[in-house]
Amino acid sequence: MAANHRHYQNVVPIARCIVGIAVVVFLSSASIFYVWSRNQVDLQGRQIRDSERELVKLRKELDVVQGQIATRSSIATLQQAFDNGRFKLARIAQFEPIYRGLTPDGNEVRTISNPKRSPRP
Amino acid sequence: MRMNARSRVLAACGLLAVCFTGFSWRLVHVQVREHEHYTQEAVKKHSDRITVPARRGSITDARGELLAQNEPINTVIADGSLIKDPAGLVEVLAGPLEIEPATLRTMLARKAENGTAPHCYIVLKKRVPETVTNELERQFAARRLRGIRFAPEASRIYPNFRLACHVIGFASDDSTGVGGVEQSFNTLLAGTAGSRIIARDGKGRELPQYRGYERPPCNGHNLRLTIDIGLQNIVETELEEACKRYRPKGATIILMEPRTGAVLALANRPNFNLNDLARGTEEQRRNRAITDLYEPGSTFKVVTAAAALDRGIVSPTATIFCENGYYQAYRLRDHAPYRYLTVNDILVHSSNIGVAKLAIMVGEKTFYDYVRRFGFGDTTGISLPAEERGQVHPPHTWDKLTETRMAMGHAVSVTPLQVATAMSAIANGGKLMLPQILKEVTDENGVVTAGYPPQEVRPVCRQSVARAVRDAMIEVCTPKGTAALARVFGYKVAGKTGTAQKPDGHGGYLRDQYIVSFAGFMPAMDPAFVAVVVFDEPRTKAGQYYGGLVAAPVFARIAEKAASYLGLPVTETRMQGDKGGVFAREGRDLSAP
Repeated sequence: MAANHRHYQNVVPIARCIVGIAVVVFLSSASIFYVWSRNQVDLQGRQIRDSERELVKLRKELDVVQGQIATRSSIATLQQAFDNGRFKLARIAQFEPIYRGLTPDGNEVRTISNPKRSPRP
Repeated sequence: MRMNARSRVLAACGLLAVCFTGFSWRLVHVQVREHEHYTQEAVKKHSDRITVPARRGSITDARGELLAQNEPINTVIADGSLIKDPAGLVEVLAGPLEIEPATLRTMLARKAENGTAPHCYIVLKKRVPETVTNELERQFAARRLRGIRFAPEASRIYPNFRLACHVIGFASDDSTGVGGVEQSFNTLLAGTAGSRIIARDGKGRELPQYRGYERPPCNGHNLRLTIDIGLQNIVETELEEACKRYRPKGATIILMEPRTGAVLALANRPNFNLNDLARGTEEQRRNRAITDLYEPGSTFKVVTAAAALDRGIVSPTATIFCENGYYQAYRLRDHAPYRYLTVNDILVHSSNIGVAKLAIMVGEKTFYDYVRRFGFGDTTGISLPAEERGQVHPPHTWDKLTETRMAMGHAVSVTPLQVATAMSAIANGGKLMLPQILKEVTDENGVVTAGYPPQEVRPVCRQSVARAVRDAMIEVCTPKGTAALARVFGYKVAGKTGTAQKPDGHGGYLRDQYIVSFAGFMPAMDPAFVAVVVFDEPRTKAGQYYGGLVAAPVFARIAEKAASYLGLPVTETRMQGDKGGVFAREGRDLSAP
C-alpha cells in the first residue's frame, strides 16, 4: 500500500500543468493583447491628431488661396490695373457713337448709353 | 522592567495594527467619503473642455462675387525664457514682420514684471498672414531657432477694398461685426461655437483617442446682398470723379430697384479701406446714406404735388397763380417771376410759391399725413445699423410759415435713403417698398435657408397720381426744366433737382453753404433703377451750386453706364425735349455737311 502511494506521488500532474499553462498563456496573451490594443489606440490617436493638423493646414491654405483669387480678380483690383494701363487696352469710349442735339445747350455732346443696341429708326 | 520576547512581538503587532487601521481608515475616507471630490480633481487635471470655433460666413453680391471672406492670420508671440539666439531671431523676423531690428531686439529683451526673468509672452506683431508665418516656421526649423510661436486667428479679407465699405462694414479682431451688414447680421454670420471634452497627457498635450462629449460648431451662414458690385463700381467711379471736381464735405449716391426696393449700389464719401481699418476715422466710417440728415430742398416738392393730386384737389393741368415771383403773405420768393403755372409746370420750374399754395390747399394735417406716408420721419427699415428717422414735426408745433417751407423741402430733415425710397414709390406706381440690402441667406453647403422677397410697406398714392408726377418729372429733365443735364441719350429720364441752404442751427440758414441733390429714375416708363445723388457743400464757381448743374450730370453719367451694364434696350431716338439730333463718331466734325 505504501509503495503504491509513493508510486502515485511521483506521477507528473499533467492535468494541473495543462491548466496552469493555459492560465499562464491566457494571462500572457491577454496582457499582450491589452498592450497591443493600447498601442493601437495611441497610434490611432496620433493619426487623428496628424490628420486634423493636415486638415487645418489645408483649410487655411484653401482660405489663403481663395482670398488671393478673390482679391486679384476683384473689380476694384481689375479697375486699378486698367487705370494704371497694365492691360494695354484702349478706352472703348473713344469709339462710342456720340449725339448732338439740334439746339446745342451746354454739355449736349455725350456718348450713347448702350452702343451695342442701335436706336430704333 | 524588561519585556520578554512575547510582549515585544505583541507590542509590535499592536503598533502595526494601529498603523494599518489608520491607513485603512484613510483609504476608506479617500475612496468612499471623498470619492466625488477626488474624481473631480483628477478629471480637472487630465481633461478639459475646449471651444471649437465656428467659421464666420462669407458675404457676396447679388451675382455671387465675394465681398468678404475669412483669411487665416496669426499673432507672433515670443517666449523670452526659450530664446537662446536672439540675434538669429532678429535676423529672421525683422524683414517679414517689417519691424526695425533695433526695435525687435528691445522687444525680445523685455523682462518679466519682477525685472529679472525674461518675459514669457511678448506680442511681436498681430495680423500676420499665414503665408508669412509658414515661411518663418520653415526658417526656424532650418536654423533650429526656438522661442517664437504663432497664435492662429481668423480675420476678414475684403477683396474690393473701399467698394461698398459702408454697406459691408467690417469684423473686429474678436470677430464681431462693426457697421454695415457685418454688424446687422452678426449673429447669422458668426454661427455658434462648438465644444469638446478632451483628455491631456502629462505634458498637457491633447490625447485625441480619449475624447469625450463633442458638440460640433455650427458655422456661420453666408449672406448674398442685393448690391451689384458692377453697378457699385460705376457709382463709386463717378462719385470719385465728382468729388475730385467739386471737393464736397460729403457725398452720397444710392441706386435702388423701385419695383423691389433692393439697394443695387450705395456709396458715400469720405470712405475707408476695409483692409486697412487702422487708418479709417469715424468720419469716414459713417454711412451718410442713412445717418446724415439734410433738408432735401426741391426734391421734396414731388411729395407735395403727389399729396395735392392724390387728394383730388387739383389736376396736373390745373393752373395756380404764382404771385409774379413774390408771395407777400408767406414771404416766399421764386427764382423767376411766374404768373400762372400748371401743377406740372410748378415741378418743371420748381416754383416755391406754387408748391406752397398746393400744400396750403391740401391742409396741414393731410399734408403731414402724406409726408409720413411717404416714409419721412421714420426709419425705412433697411437692415443696416444706426439708421436715423429724420425730423418731421407734427402740425401742432408748426407756425404760420412751416407748411409753406415744408412743401419746398425746408423745415424737414431726411436721409438720402428716405428720398430714394419715396422716389421709388413714385417710380413704381405708388407703392412704398421696404428697402432691402439682403437677398438671401445660405448655409455652409450653399443651401438657401432664408429668402427676402420684396415687401410693400403701404400704398402712398394712386397709380394715376404717381404717373402724373412721373410725367412732370420727365419734363423736369428737358431743356425747359431744371435738370436738362440729367438727360441720357436713348432713354427717358424722370427726376427732380434739389438745392438747399444748410441750416445754421439758430433758425436761419448759412450763406454759401448748400446741399445739392438730384433724385431720378430711368427708363421713366419702366424704371430699372432710382438714383439719388447728394453733395454736401460742393465747391463750385459762383452761382453754379445748383442741383441741376452739380448732381444731375453725375446722375446722367451713372445712368448711361448703368443702362449699358444692365443691357437696357434703347427706347428713344432723340434727346429728351429735343426735336431731332444727329449721330456721329467721336472726333468727326459734326458741323460739316
